Order: sequence, then C-alpha cells, then structure tokens
Amino acid sequence: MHMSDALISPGVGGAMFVASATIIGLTIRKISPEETREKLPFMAVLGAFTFAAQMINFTIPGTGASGHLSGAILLAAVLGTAPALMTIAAILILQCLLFADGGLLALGANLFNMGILPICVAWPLMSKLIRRDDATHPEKRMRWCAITAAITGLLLGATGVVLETIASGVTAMPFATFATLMLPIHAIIGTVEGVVTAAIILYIQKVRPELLNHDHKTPPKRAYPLILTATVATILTAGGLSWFASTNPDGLEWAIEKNLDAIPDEDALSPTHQSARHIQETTTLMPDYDFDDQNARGTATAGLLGAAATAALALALGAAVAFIRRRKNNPCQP
Amino acid sequence: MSGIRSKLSALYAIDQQAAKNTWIHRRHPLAKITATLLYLVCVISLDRHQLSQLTAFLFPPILLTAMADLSAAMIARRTLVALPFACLAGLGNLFLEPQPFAQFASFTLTKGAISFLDLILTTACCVSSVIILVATTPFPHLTEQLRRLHIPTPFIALLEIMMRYLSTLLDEGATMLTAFRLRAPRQNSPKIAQFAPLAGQLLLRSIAHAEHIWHAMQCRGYQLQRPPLQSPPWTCADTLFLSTAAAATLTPRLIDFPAILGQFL
Repeated sequence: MHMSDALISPGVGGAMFVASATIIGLTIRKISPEETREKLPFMAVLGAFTFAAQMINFTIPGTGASGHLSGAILLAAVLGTAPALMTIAAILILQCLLFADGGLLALGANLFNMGILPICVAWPLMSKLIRRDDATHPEKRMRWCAITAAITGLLLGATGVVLETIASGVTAMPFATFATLMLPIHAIIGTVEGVVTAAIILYIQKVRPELLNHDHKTPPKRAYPLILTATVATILTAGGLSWFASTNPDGLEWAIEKNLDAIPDEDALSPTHQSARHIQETTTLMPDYDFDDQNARGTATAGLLGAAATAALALALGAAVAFIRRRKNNPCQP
Repeated sequence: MSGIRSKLSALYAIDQQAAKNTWIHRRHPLAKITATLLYLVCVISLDRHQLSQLTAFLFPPILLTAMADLSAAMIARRTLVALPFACLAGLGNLFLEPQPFAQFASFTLTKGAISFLDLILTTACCVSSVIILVATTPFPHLTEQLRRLHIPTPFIALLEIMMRYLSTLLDEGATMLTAFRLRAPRQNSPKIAQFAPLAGQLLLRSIAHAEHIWHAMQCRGYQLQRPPLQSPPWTCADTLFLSTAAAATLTPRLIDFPAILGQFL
C-alpha cells in the first residue's frame, strides 16, 4: 500500500505531509523524556520487527496478488498510541530511503494511510467497541479486536490511497472502479494481518504480560480533534497549493501569450529567417510537429519520437561518463 | 538462512555505496537533499500525458549514477520493486482512455497507453533519484540534516537505533530458523500454526538482546542529546552542484526539449 511519488501530485503530497507532520509532531510532544528513555530500545526493536515483517510478502490465493503485514495495529497494541505513531513514522522513513518503498514526496500520504488511520482511528475505535474492562473472555475479545482493527485500518488506508490518487489526477479510473479493485484485496490482507497480530499479542500476553501497553483500553481523548484539525489543514493546504497546479500554461507558453504583439508576421521575417525556415521545412519530416494533413496526432507522434531520441541520448551520455570514469580509475585497462 | 543473510546484505548495500569518495559523494548533504526535492516536485508536477517532456528528466539520474560510480543494476533492481503498484494504478488508464494520441504508420498509440508509460517512467525517475541521494550520502549525515531542521531528537535517535537493530533482529531470525531446520529437517519453513509462537519468540529474544545493547550503550555514556556531527563545510563546488542541478531540473520543466528535437527528426 506504499504510494510512490508517481501516484501523487505536489499539491496533494504537500497537503498530506502538512497534515501528517502536524499530527505526528503534536503526538511526539506528548511523550515525556523519561518515557522515551525507557521505551526507546523497545520501540526500536519493535520497529525493526515490523520493518522485517513488511519485507515478507505473502501470496493471496486465487488473485495472483500479494500483500504484506503493515504492523501498525501490533505497534498500537504493544506500545500505545503516541510511541506507536512515532515508530511507524520511523519505519516508513527508513523504508522510503533504504528500499525506495514509498516516495519521498508521498511520505505524508503514506504516514496518514498506514500510520495515523490504523493507530489513531481503527485501534482506539475497535478497542472501545469490543474490549471493556469488565468484559468476559478477554482473550477472545482481544483476538476479535485485533482482527477487526487490522481490517478497518487497512480498508481506511486503501480508501485514502484511492482518494489521494484520484485527487492527484494520476489515474482515469473513477472512484467506484478503483475502490472496487483496492478494497476487497485489502480486506483479505487485513484479515491475515489481524490473525497474525492477535496471535503475537496473545503470545506476549502469556509469556511476558508486563511488556504490553495496558492503558490503551480507552481511546486517547484528543485524537479526534487532532484529526479534525489535520483534515482542515489538509483542505486548506490543498486549496492553496492547487493554485500552482497545471491548468495554467507553462512558463514558455505564458511568456509567448503575453508577448503576442511582439512576434512579427511571417511575411515580415528577414531573408535570413526565411532561408532558415526553408531549410528547416526541407529537412523536417514532421513540420510543426504535424503530418501533412495537419492531423493533430502528428504533434504527439513527433513528441514521442523526440522522447525516444532523448531517452537514447541520456543513456548514451550516461554510458560515456561511466566509460570515462572507468578509464580514469584503471588507465591500464584496454 | 541464506535468504535472511542476503536480505541483510541487501539492506546495507546502499549504505556501503555511500562510503565512496567521488565528486558527487563529497557534495554537501543539504545541496543533495534540496536538488532531489526540486527534481521530485518538477517530475510529479507534469501532466500524465506529457511523456515526451518527462524523458528529459532521465538525464539527471543516469548521469549521477555514472558520475557517482554507482551500480546501475542495483538501482534498477530497487526501482523494479516499486513498479507493481504503479502498474496497477496505471492499468485502468489503458482501458479508460482509448482515444488515439499518436500514430506510427498503421499503429495507433492511445492516450491510455501514454499515461500508463508516463506513470511507469515517473515512478522510475522518482525512485531512482531517492536511491541515488541515499547511496551518495552517509546515513548519519542525513539524520544530522534532520536534526538541523529541528526534527525532535528522540525521533532521530529512534531512526538511528532502529537502523542498527535490524541486523540484531535478522541475526536472531537466522539463528531460530537454523534451530528449526535442525529439529525438523523435512520441513523447509514453519507451518502457519507454528508461525505465531516463532514470531513471538523472535520478538522476545530480540527485545532481550536489544535491552542488553541499550544498557551497554548507556554504561558507555550514550545520551539522546549528543553533540552535532562535524558536517563538511559548504563550498563553491556545492553551490555549482546545486545551481547546475536546479538548471537541469527547471529548464526541461519549462521547455519541452524532446518535442523540439522530434520536430527535426
């Protein structure tokens, strides 16, 4: 579910970054220095465990797709909301930098979808609904809480991915189609994640119960206003950044539009300009990026030919620089 | 066990690349971070049908890979990992945008195909640029820049310690897997019923190991608020690098060079 930079526009990416950084920043401030010192090795090793678990993909039978655990619910159950959020943020940053799993500009979106939604919304909500202090069968309730929280968290995250991708204008798929593709597969992954998470939590509870966070039964009271604030910040930032979105002409087009009067008529061109134009018309296969019948597709075809040539040129230049470097490092090599 | 070991070595492969000493490696981390962010913003701000303009953005990662003496195969492998999800998102475009975009003899390229290719190329450009940043900048220098950006110290300490604990955890995992295979030689991997106790056991052993390391670090005077690293000074070469990178990124964003080149073909 990691979004890459290609799936997000600068406006949406920036807005999501502001929202996620606000929530995580305010949450981290709530952790006292003593708690940090006490929990840091635990957070680090749980983070490393989740990191390693996310590296293992399992195949989803009958779909041809694969998935991996997100680990957010495990972190929330064991560490509590604030340390869990801090840990998942560290995991996502490391994954982005070391494995290129998730983009740098999409980091805010990934933090929101894979960290904030499951840890601040799904886990507290399910804890409140399913687990109660006076409830009977605590183990059974813990199992169901983990499973439902994992499914809810992943479905919320997947919906976030769909909305952010569509808002970025990357895909032509309508919301319903994209959601139909994304949600069922993430419900299956969520079920697997929930079962594994519940099994690990119950094992820790049996062997070393003191490691589990015991103050997570009531959801943090301040989480909801925080999310509301972040949502408003998201909308405002997205609105602000959308001024810079791409419906306007680019710099060159803008400059030409502004100076239309300054461009001379074709007849008024100097003899030098006219001869240059004649040479160009003779040598060009697609004058004015177009076919002879002025078919609009000609422009695009010329552009694609140019693109292929540019890509080839870039590769050739890269190979040449690498060759020169090798020769410089090993001058004796033939 | 070899699988876990190879994952561990792959994990630190990029970190080892950062120890090289090329002109690119010697540039100030802040210059490289700024150049990468500028590049990413320019690439993803292109429309999904501007494939020709996007190809001009292939120059920076290809040239930097060559100049920094990085393994192109390693960067390609890491980039491939990010492609499946981009393919999934772009696949729908193939069917939903059947309008013709370009024509080569009798072969017509649809708008959907262009936006699909554009998405793949954008992913490749973005992913490779981030890998190049990390492969040319040592991890402590990156975290030092985060410190200067006033990111809370506990968070940066968590990043650094987690990076080091990964090897501890994978080592424990390898030991447990060896023990499991010696006990059950006919089983290659644990069954689902055995997975939870094994994972729980791995976690508990790693916690115990991590606590030992943490106490040892504290006994040797480790503090969260450590003195800042001696960063390399900002030189004229850094200004030259940043201005060249900015020009190489902003110019193709404003002018569609490949389309102009196509006019002459």
